[in-house]
Amino acid sequence: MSAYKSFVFAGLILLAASSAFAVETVFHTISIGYFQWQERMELSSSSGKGNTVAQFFGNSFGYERESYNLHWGNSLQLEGYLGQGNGGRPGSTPAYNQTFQSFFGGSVAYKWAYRPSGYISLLSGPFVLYRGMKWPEESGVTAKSGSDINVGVLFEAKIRPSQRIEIYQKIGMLGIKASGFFAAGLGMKF
Amino acid sequence: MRIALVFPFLLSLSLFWALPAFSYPEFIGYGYAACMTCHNNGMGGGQLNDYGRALWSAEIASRVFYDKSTTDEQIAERSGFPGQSKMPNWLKPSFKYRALFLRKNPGSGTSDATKFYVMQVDFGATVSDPDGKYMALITWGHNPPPTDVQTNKISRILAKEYFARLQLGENWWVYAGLLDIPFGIRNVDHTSFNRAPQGLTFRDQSQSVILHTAKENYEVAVDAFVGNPYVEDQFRMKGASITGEYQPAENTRIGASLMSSKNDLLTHSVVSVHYRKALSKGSAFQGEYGMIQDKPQLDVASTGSYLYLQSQFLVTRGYFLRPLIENYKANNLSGTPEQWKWGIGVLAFPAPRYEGRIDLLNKTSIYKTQAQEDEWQMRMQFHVSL
Repeated sequence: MSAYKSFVFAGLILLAASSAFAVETVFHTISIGYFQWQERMELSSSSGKGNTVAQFFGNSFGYERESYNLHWGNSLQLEGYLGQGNGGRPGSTPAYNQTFQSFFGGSVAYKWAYRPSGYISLLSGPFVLYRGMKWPEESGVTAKSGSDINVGVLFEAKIRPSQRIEIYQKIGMLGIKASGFFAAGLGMKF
Repeated sequence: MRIALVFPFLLSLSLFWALPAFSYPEFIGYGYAACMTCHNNGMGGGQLNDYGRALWSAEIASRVFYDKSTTDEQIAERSGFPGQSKMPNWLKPSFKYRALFLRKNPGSGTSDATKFYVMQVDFGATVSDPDGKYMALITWGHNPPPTDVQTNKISRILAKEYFARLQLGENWWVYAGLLDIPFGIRNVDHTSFNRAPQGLTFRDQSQSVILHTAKENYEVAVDAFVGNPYVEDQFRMKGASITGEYQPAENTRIGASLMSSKNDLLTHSVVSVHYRKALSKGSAFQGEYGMIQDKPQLDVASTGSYLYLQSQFLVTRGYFLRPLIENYKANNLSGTPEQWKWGIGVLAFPAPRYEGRIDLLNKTSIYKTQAQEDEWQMRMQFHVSL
């Protein structure tokens, strides 16, 4: 199964899980934001191998469905990513340095949610991230970072200064040759 | 060894001294939007007044060490200076100790990555008339030269803050002395991107005259300052600042600040807007965005920007969860990196007079020319405030 199909399959499973929950309140939210994460990068050339890092950052757009039974609930979120990646640095061995390589991607997250008041939601759960990135070869050096499909866990805090507007912050960890995942942005409920 | 000696000493002092000095603008979440409610310095920070001490003990700190029959009012009554009844009421001493354990990249296995810092050893006193119309305050503190910071050598005790405060009318005050420059959200973290690049850290008090007015829905402070006397003449920043807040709705504040200063080498200007809002009891959100322009005397000006977003969620009395986002770019037109801090922390007041913090922080720099490995920090702080 291709990485892309695996990603869609994971999304369908999480969608089914989120619908099996008795709810009193449902919120639909669209959002825009900024994200970044880091992956370990493996360099390979005829003269040897080496390791460095790759950074991914850019903008996200998403849709989220939150369901609450008074204070407790769950959420399913779909996000698309448009961004750039920097990989390697001057002086790395083998020599490799590529910056602002465009990529697209997306994620699907299932989160358990706690809403202590109408102004606050705290959420946490697993997410699956897909990103399409093929690092260009540079002077005979090939580079590969992380994984096209990655899995992780997220913690998210949302605050709502008004009925419709929310500000979110996510802190997460990615599991496959990557580390922290971070995001922040604005959402609008409808 | 130093910790082993100092800690019991502090612990013993804590039995005899009263509460202290913090600045937590997030406590708008308790409905206290104005700094003057709790602090002798109406712009925030420094020693607490009697009401602030009582509020800290009776409403914010955990009461797990008190039995159920002890009321919050009784806890508040004990929050004052122990032995106060034997002392004149116009005299209020204070003491504060703050230490930091900092571990960079936890889990990396490097043995030298954990460091201990004595951040603060302050002691001071306030004298005032019964109505608080006339007040004088001084705080001496451990203020090591930069060469001694790494060694934790307590080598220099300075009068870090001193001022006289005069109430001119029902809502007007004037301050004169060595004070923090009023500007923006007075975040307690002096390494924050809304304090450090602006020149508003724990070393940046300035000899000032400040005019402050505070009413129910707004407050304004105007400061004219001539620099820190412990800094060499050519580096002393002289200038002015103005900061104000307006309350458009209950427990919601929007504000703006402007500061311009210069010394023999640099002209430094900062402008910002900020927002604070209570979310529910004890929980709040605050954010600040600003721009900083530095113009060296012999070079072209650079303009940068910063963003600070801090949430605070009350988990249970005395314990808070605190997500953080900060962004800073020193020069928007050059190759300086875009710096990010992403954090999650726990702030705890397990009992009156004690505070603990654990913060996990990720620091990322995004360059135009390369990838840069990010840095993780685990910060553990311990405070005793007497």
